[in-house]
Amino acid sequence: MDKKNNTKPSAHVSLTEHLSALLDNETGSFEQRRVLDELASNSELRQKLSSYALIGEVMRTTETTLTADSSFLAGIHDRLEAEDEYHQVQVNTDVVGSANSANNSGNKKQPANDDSWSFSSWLRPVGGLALAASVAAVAFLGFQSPQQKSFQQNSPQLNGSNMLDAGMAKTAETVPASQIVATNEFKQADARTRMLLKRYVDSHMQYASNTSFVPSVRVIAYAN
Amino acid sequence: MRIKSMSRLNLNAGVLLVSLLTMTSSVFADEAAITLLNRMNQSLHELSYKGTLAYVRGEVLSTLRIEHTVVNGVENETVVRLNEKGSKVSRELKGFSLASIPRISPEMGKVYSFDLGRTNRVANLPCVIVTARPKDRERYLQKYCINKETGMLLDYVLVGKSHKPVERFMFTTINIASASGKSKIEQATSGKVKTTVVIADAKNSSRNAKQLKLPDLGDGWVVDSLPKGYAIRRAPNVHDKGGKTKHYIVSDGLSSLSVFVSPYSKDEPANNVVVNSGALNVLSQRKNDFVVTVVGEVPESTLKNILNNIRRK
Repeated sequence: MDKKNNTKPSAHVSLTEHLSALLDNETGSFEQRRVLDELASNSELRQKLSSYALIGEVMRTTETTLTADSSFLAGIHDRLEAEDEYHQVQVNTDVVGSANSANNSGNKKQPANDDSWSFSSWLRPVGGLALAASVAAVAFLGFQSPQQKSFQQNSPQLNGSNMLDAGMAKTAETVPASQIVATNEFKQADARTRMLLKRYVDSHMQYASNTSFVPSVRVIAYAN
Repeated sequence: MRIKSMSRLNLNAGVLLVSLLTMTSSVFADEAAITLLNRMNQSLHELSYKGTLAYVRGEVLSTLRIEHTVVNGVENETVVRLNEKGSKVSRELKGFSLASIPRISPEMGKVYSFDLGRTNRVANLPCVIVTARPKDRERYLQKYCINKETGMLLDYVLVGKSHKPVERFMFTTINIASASGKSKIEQATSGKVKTTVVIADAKNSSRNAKQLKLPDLGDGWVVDSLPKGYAIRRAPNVHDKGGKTKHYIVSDGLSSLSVFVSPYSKDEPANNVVVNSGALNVLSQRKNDFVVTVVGEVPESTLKNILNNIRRK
């Protein structure tokens, strides 16, 4: 064991214990603050938190609570209707057309293309849910304005305080400077853009994802 | 002198034999892995199962309850999120076709090496680890743990370029049954495993769509090149703006992404878009009077590559 490992164990064990106590709601405000501060900078501790949370979830999950909730479709619709953007999508099949008409009453809905499939009944549930689910997937977007400077390798990422999901943090180094120019900050997408991208993520989940239950799991995970 | 050359000859022959044996066993391992993956793909549609699944996306952990039933060829899938807000999703797949289930062919060995690994235990069931290791950086490494008896996928990991998992699905509890509801394991031991009857309906599957030949997609768009192993096909247009948004699927059989081409209008995002969430990436870029958006569970560099290679004819 090296010196580095010898210097920290007591503090680390203590933090782990505090973390466990935090999850059990048995910490005081000082300990809570200490653990939360440490979580912000300690990835190992965050992993422990995930593990503890998983164990807790599995232990708390019982067959009874799951089967008691039988009317899941109604629940979904309630949830989706509570979301403004999704509600719009559900009501207006031509979302963008509707958005247009809101802005420009002279715009008429365009007829469907011959090779455009209308949603058949079996597709509707998937489509609708995927739309709702992909809200989170597109909740934070990196925008690059053509007038702004090019992306640099070390362009800043989303500020932690503005992130709903650490996984959504976008590294700028992947954007080709020659092709895409960008601002050095990210901002939340407007509702119209989110609706548009939701449709794309939705269609992708429907037609391109390979493994059976994987798209549904992604969909429901993105929904939060 | 002669003895020395004889022993050298024997040594060379030994090395050759060992090499041949290694290559042969490697080929068999690849074939066994591919066979198991194909069985898994079919089983995921045919089996009825319910269980609790841990889903890790980046550093975010979710637990979900998943239930999949097959009744008279109709699949019903319900996923309930158990933590946080407890949202739910369900879908019904009527008349899926066995022909629509992606088949992993030995041809995919050009871009992946398939390995059959050790036996593990997930959700208290034994499973064999199968790894699809990409031979380039255009796709994620995929690791499966499959219960050999049922073909059920119990653990699935996508690993990014930094060798860290970007997404993981792992059952913590599972109960597997056939379409009739009887335990699949019981049936297997009694030797009376029934095959679920499915209704073929090719119309409902875009996987049956004809693959397009590069570079001309035949509708005013050209794709100069795709990363090795990927092929492109059309999917139904997106149901918006009168169905003007074209949808192409680019897939190597295991990894896939979608390309959307939409006429530019004031409703399109004025800026280019970059999104990342776990394994999912989204890039959008304006090209003349169109906006091209690529979405997929592939590395962002792959999306970027494809985005850069699509152009108006």
